[in-house]
Amino acid sequence: MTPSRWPLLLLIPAAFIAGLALDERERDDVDASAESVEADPIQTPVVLPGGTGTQVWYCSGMTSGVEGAAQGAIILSNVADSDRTAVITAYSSSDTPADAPVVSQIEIPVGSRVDFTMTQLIDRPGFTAATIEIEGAGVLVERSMVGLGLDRQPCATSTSTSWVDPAGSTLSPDGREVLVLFNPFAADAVVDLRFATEFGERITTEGEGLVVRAQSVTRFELTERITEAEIVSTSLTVRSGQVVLDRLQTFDGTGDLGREGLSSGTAAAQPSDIWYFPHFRLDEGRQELLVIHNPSTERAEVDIEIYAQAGAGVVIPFERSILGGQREVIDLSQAPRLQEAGVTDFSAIVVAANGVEVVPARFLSMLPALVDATELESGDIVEPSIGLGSHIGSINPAPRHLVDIRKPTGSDGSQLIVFNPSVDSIVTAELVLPASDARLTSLEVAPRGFAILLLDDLEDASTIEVQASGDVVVGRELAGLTSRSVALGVPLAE
Amino acid sequence: MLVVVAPTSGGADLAGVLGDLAGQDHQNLIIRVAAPADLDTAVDGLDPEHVLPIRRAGCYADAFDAVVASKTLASSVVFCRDDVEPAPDAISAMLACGEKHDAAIVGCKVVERTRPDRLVSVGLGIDKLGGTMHRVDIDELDQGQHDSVSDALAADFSFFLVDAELLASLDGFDRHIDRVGDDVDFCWRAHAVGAKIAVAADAAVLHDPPRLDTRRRMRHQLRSVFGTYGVANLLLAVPLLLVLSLAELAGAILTARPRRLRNIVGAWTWNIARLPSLFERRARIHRARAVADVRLRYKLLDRDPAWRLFDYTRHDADEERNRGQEFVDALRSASTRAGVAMWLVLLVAFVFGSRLILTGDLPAVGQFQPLPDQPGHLIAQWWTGYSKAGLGVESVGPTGALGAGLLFTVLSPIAEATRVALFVSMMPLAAIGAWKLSRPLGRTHARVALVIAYLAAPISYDAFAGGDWAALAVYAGAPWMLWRMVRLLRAAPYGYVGGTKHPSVPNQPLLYQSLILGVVIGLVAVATPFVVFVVLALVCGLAVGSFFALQMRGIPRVLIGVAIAGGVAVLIHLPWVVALLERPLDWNAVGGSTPATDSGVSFADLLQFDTGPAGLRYVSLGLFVAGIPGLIFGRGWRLAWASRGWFIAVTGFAMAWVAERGWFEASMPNAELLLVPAALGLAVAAAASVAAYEIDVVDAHPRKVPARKAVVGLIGIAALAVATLPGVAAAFDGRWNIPKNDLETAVGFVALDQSDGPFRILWIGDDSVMPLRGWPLDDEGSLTFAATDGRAPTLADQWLVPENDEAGTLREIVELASSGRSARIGSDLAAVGVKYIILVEANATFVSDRIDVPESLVRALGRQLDLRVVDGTNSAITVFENQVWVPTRVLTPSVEGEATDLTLGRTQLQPSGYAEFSGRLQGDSTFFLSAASDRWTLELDGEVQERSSVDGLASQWQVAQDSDAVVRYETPGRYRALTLIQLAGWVVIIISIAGWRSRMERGV
Repeated sequence: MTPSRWPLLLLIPAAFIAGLALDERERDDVDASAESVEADPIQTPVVLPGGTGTQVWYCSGMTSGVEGAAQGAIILSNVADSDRTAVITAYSSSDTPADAPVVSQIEIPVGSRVDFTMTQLIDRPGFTAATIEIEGAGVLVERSMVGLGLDRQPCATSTSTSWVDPAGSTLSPDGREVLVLFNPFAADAVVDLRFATEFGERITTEGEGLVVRAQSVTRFELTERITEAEIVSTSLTVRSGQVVLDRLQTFDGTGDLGREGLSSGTAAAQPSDIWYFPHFRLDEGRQELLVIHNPSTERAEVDIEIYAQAGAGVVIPFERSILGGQREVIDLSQAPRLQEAGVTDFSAIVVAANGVEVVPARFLSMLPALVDATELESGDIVEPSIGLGSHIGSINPAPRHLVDIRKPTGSDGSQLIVFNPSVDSIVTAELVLPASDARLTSLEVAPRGFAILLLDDLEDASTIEVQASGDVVVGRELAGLTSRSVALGVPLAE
Repeated sequence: MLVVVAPTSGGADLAGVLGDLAGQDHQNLIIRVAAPADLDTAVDGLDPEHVLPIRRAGCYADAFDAVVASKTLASSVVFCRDDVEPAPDAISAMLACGEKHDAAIVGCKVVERTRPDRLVSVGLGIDKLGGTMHRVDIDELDQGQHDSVSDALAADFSFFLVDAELLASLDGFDRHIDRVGDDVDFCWRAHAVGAKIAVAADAAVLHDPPRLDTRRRMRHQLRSVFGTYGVANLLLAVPLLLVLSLAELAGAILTARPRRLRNIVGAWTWNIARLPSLFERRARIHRARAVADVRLRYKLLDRDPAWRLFDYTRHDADEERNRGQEFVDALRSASTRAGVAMWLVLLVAFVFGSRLILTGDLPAVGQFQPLPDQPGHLIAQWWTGYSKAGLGVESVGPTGALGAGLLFTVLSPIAEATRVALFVSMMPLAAIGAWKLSRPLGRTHARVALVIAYLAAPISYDAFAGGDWAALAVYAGAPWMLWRMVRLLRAAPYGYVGGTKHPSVPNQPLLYQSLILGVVIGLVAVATPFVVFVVLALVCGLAVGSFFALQMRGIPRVLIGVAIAGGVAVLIHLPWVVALLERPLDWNAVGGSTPATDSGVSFADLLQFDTGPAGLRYVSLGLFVAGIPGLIFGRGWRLAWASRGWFIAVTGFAMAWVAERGWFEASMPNAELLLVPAALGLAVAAAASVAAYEIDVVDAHPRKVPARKAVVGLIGIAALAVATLPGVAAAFDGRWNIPKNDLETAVGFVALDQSDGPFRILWIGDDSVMPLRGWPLDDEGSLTFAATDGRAPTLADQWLVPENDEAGTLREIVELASSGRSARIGSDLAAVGVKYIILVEANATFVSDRIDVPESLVRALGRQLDLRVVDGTNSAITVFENQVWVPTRVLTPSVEGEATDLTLGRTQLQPSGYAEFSGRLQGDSTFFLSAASDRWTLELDGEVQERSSVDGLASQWQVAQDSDAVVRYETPGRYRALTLIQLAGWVVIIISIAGWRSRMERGV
């Protein structure tokens, strides 16, 4: 039987052409789905669920001793379903010959909140840090600092080879910014620090090749090196080793604006092309700055989308072009477009439109000098608030968050904010006590909307869990008699 | 008197010798001609009934069998070739000599035909190793100087007389010895049964010196020794022959004489393959022996064994002279010229492309790793079944380890050269396989096209550049496997289906073909078990191609043959296969350790074979163009083979594509390996195109080829030429793009770091740059992990081993770090003795092609509080040192009621074998060994101690008092049984193949 060539001449080319076409189509689909790159799971603070290995928290930026600028305490909230033991290793400053790390253990009964001061571990004055190793995870770790004010922030869950802190200030006469570098490892780390101010990019001789001794804390007094900078952004890259970078910012109220308070925070370990801020508020005597730092070498095209409270008008997004290594400051409290739209409370999303990743931070200052004297006289305002707060945005919306909502003494107006970044889904968020699963309240949040819950309504609660039906970002603002503290809730990993 | 003429010269001289025999003064000669059926025996005066059909021309064994079968009776038989001219009184003189000396075999004086005054032979001598000793010199003048000597150890067999009784008692000539050496062999056996041999000096025969055939001569000489000596003398002779062969082998390598190399190896393998018949022969001689073997040995001549070397060198030279003449003759043929030119070009290209490897060294890149310090440990790895991969894997004995161990132990003086040869020889092996596969195509240009097209696909160069021995082995083996499969298919010209079988293709039974195919698959599976799927792809392509060629008849036969071959391959690798099957199927041990993910290589890249540094965009598409004319012009078997070639290619590309997209959801080998069927298929299609062009276009239009068809043909040839450019480009750097350096210097520090005790190294990196085979670190990405026992990777780490739970522990520890669930994995790793974690990001130092370990993993390891980055290492690797590591063998004081604290311990016991340590242990202590298997035993002063497990990852024993200790791995009986079955299987396979060959040679 003689084979026919025609089926062959048709089929064989057809097989190859079909393969090429199918490959092209599938590849397009893959390219589209490959856009989201999985982030390092613990580069931003996250609570690992109970029963999964050991989680380590890195708490730094605090001082020990009774006269420290930011007397530190560590707060441990056990949200797991059983008791936990924390191994705490405290490290002292390398300014003087460093002591050996102090190791101690502490039991955290299920559902409880345990705190201790750093002075209990290291009584020598100076900056300190601690690693808290939780066997079995399921514990939220925060540190609180008391000095010229009060701040409470979650500790870091990771060391890193790079850090970015967008918002600090060395403005005289009252501003002081201290960078605190914590190296918990057995080998020295060597880092480079670079800064961006309104005068351009800056480097310092001390910040180049800075050695962070093994198992110690190194203080970098930025105010002494970068003077008179209204807003300083800091980039840290590591030559060898890994560190944790914290910033301590204080104002003593001697300046023209009467700014007074303390804020601290861990820098961001990685830039991103999208950031979420659950809440800003525009009010009398309140300055809300959004600082965006571009740590790369390329120009970043950044859009700031504003999602205002119900009833306010639509706000056209802010657009900024930021050169590599530079930072941009937007004074939202003075932005005409917000005022014209009648915006008082809003959430924001910072998007790097051209993909060049940035790090934005909120910088909140209560400015008594700006309070209208007539309002004081009329009794609308009893006493101008003071305080300082800052936090970096969130890149990690999640359905479950843990927030320690214990209010400071004399709390007035402390609040919890739940922001729904979804474009089209309404989210229901329930606030529950993790130990008992008792439901405190629930909130319904519209797409790209936010809900505010006054903490004064939740008298007995300390650490709560926000359980949402979709991804949300949770914020917290603690308003004390002489302090402000703004922070984000900590996502609970699945 | 019976005279049996066994023509060797194609029958041209038959009339002459028959005339001479008719003129003999001895009357009553019964003349028979024993010749193959295809030999022209039409000679005047020769009754066709007197022509006895035999299988092998000139073979006295066949001739004798034919005489026996014809029941022709005589008391004496004269055997002769057809190119002799006996004197008229030759037979009567031989008879007289035989009667005078009571000789059962009588030879004659042989002189040259053209120069009758020159002696060729007056009988032969036999030395103690079966060698032939000539009694006359070359060109020795016949002055009657040898006429007085009548006895000899052997007679020249061009014309001789033998007593029929002797023939009967010896059951004729050895049926495995064909022409060359039959004189020595038969005469030696005759001596053994007490027969005398004489030379009749007055019986003159004109006969030119026979053409030398060293290959057969060496084979047959060994057979004579093995088959004639008694046991005692054999025990003396075999080691001596072995040593001489090894010396000759080394000499052949050093003097670059591949033919001699082949002859030496071939002589042994040929005889080993015929062991069953050898045993039969020995039994027969033993029964008939009349002269004590010791006495017979005294009769044989002494000769310095070194003479043998010179003798063969001389013979080689003579043979090469003869072959040189044949070569010159063949060169007169245009088609042969093309073949010769191709091989010359390929040889030059290969030497040019490999020059820096052949004159320098082969970097330890990919699987081209150096030999272990003790090659014997490779054999021990197979014999004990204990693999040191990961934290130790039981009952896994890679057959390749045995093969490599034997090879490098035997060739230890030239081990490094052997290592280079092992990897570099794959490309020539592929070319030879393709040449063999193409032989039945008949047309030299088609054969050249097949070889060139196969070599043109840049996959072999890419595989070499990456040190991918698995891909190279499949590349080398694929033509040999297809050769066996197409013979099973029996499609023309490899068989009778759809046309005429080419005469070069012997008829061989299905079982034999399947056995050989199984052996080839088994050999390639030493490098990668994935070869099984390559075979299936070839079968699939053959089946679909045959379907469209309307020639499905042979497919069931192929399927049966491949199934049998699969069984044979399983038998060859038995313990390994059982180890694979009895665990939850670990596909990684088959497909490799590259996880199933989209590699980013598109279908278009695959079609262009653009998967590595050698690929040149668009150029390899020339292979497609070269294969098209077969579909357009081909008729008959040309069209059928074009169809099969194309569908093999389609199957190969499809397999590679699906794998590269990650759709198999299982780890798969590199693209170079997966593309082998595609390259071979396109090569077959290209060869079919050239054959079609020559036969269906040029031959069909003898006067003038139509211009359109000529243009298409020329385009095909030009495209094929263009497609060779990647290979040409790859040859330029003299090392086929393989890096100049390797990781040896970068990881050499571990060799200097043994003083604190034995430890393990955890290796993590992309599969394509890792210097050893491991397991996937996760389901996504291409990271793999592996562990070695405190040393840099070697050849011993190149076999895929099924993963066990203990190895999985390493993965879990790394996952703990990368998920942020631990900041002290050092303490976890300490429990399994890991001191260093080495992240591999390039397969050599100072190369630009890096595949970085994900930054997240580097960060995760960097934030471990008990790991320290080792500064100052080469950028190809990142090294973390575990600061809390514990040696893998530790003796620590026992404290009543307290847990063992390994950090207090110190290293004890030193290696005394592959999986054995010994020394002295102090009492009141605990001995800890980082090995999970309960097959590890500790003997204290000869008594086995009770073992306890440490978290399922290690073993420990209590030591009550000071004792001499031996800790060793005891191989399970079941594994031992499997290895014995495996060995028995090999013997069965060898005997079966030998049996089939023997029967085929005998024409049964």
